[in-house]
Amino acid sequence: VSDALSWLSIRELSVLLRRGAISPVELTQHCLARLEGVGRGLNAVVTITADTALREARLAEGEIAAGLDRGPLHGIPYGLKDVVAATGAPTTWGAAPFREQHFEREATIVGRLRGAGAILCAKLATIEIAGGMGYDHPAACLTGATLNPWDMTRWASGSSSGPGAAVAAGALPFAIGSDTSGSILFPAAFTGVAGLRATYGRVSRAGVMALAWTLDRLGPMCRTADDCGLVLEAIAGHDRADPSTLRRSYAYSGRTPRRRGFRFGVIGGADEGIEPEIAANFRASLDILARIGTIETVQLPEFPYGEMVRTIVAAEAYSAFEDFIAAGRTAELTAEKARLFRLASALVPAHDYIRAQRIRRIAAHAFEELAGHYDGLVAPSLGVVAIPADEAFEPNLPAASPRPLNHAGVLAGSPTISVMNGLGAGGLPSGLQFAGASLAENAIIDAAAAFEAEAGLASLRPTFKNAPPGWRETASATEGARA
Amino acid sequence: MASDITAPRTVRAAASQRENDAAALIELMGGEVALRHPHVLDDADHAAIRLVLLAQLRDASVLRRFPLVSANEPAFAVVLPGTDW
Repeated sequence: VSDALSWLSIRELSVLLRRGAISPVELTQHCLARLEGVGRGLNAVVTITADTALREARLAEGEIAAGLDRGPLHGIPYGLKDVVAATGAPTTWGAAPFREQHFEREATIVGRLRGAGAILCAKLATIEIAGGMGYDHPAACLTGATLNPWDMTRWASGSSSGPGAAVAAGALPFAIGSDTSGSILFPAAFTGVAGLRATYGRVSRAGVMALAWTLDRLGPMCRTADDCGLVLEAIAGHDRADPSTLRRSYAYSGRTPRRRGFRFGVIGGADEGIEPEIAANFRASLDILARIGTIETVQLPEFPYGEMVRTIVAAEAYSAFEDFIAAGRTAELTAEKARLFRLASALVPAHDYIRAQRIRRIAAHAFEELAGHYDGLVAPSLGVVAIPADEAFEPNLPAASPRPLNHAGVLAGSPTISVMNGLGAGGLPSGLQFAGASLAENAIIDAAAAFEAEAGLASLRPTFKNAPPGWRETASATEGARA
Repeated sequence: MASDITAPRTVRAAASQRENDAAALIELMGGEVALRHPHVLDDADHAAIRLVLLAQLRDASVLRRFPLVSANEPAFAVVLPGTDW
């Protein structure tokens, strides 16, 4: 099996699987070996579900051979951020107190992916409790700081750390991440993968750790924007087990992709106060966008975005984890900050929470009004490249990062996709975000895919810079466990 | 500093009173957090919690200043689970 498989998209792998050029079992074995090697080496993996994966792969192999086609994910390996329940493996929420947590029922999304023929290979690293108790260091994670495949002294970001690192490292073609206020976007930017936060209610969260009910979302992290569309089509849809899901189906438009004629709104001042290399990449991206569409500078409506997000997350996260916090169990978490940070959330008054939600509605309406005019509002995904993995955030993760567009999209419940738009300082990836109106996933995915095609960055590969001595990209299960 | 010197005494007194009130409020809230969470241990813990409370109050202060025109708008129409778009 060629190493080139590690870097193929779902769409490309799907063609090879149907041609019989490679079998689901071979592809799964390839991914399992990389998960044991790069996956464990980067601390991206919590549990490798090899037995289940090989059983599902053999099933897919038989089905494809018999002419049964479950769609583009049939026979494709994937991983789950470890906030998503799957049976037969612990669901740790990335945190020591939940190390042995098992659920009897799997999350709806796992069943949907199985129905689409995808093969679950691993539960992947997350910041403990998806960062919801507060954290100030990359190592706030059951498996240690998740390292960045572009430079192993750097962090993969969070809280969907494992999904970002595993996909970027070529260990899996796609993974499922979760996002409350940037947890798909930020790791996508740091690791150079495509990450999609779908519209609130698109994807069922039944069986997924709740952090903030009115903000939590799931989404795919893939090698390309196009792949994000393929995965979203498989996981979207109403679910009686999650009353927040929309009663609408989703069909990805990628079979007849748009490549020209887009209309982009560029957030004014988005290249200010960020690293110069990222600003340069952003300006170069605008030149590319101008070749595939029109660009206009727009201003985000003025709202207290950060204040709303923090107030809503404080109230909802305290409620979601009240028993855990009240019992003093935050002391069992790795992050020193987490021991006390969320305690004060008990005192967020109901009227402040409600006020935040009332302002949110007005802000969401204003955002929809603006976003509805464009195929994407664009800005850098983050204003910095990956920060050191062994140092606290301050002063490496400055508040100057261009978060207003992210926070506006978070509050509006609207979709956002981040794709790599170049390499910044130290040869580390930078990202470009496309934010759309609610339900407009096809517009932003098509726009991001057209950008990727025009930018021609697909051949860039992570170099595993600063890998430790004896580093190997693949390993057997025995070797991986020993490492 | 210069404005402090030249400000009328009543303005300075009001500002000073506000600072004292805020400090007292934080102290009170910190006490309530400690009552709810007996595992808050020492002075350093209390100081850390006061910092979080201060940040929370700053956020609340910004939100409270935001002009909401009507009390009758459907507050959660966008975000309540089960809401369709």
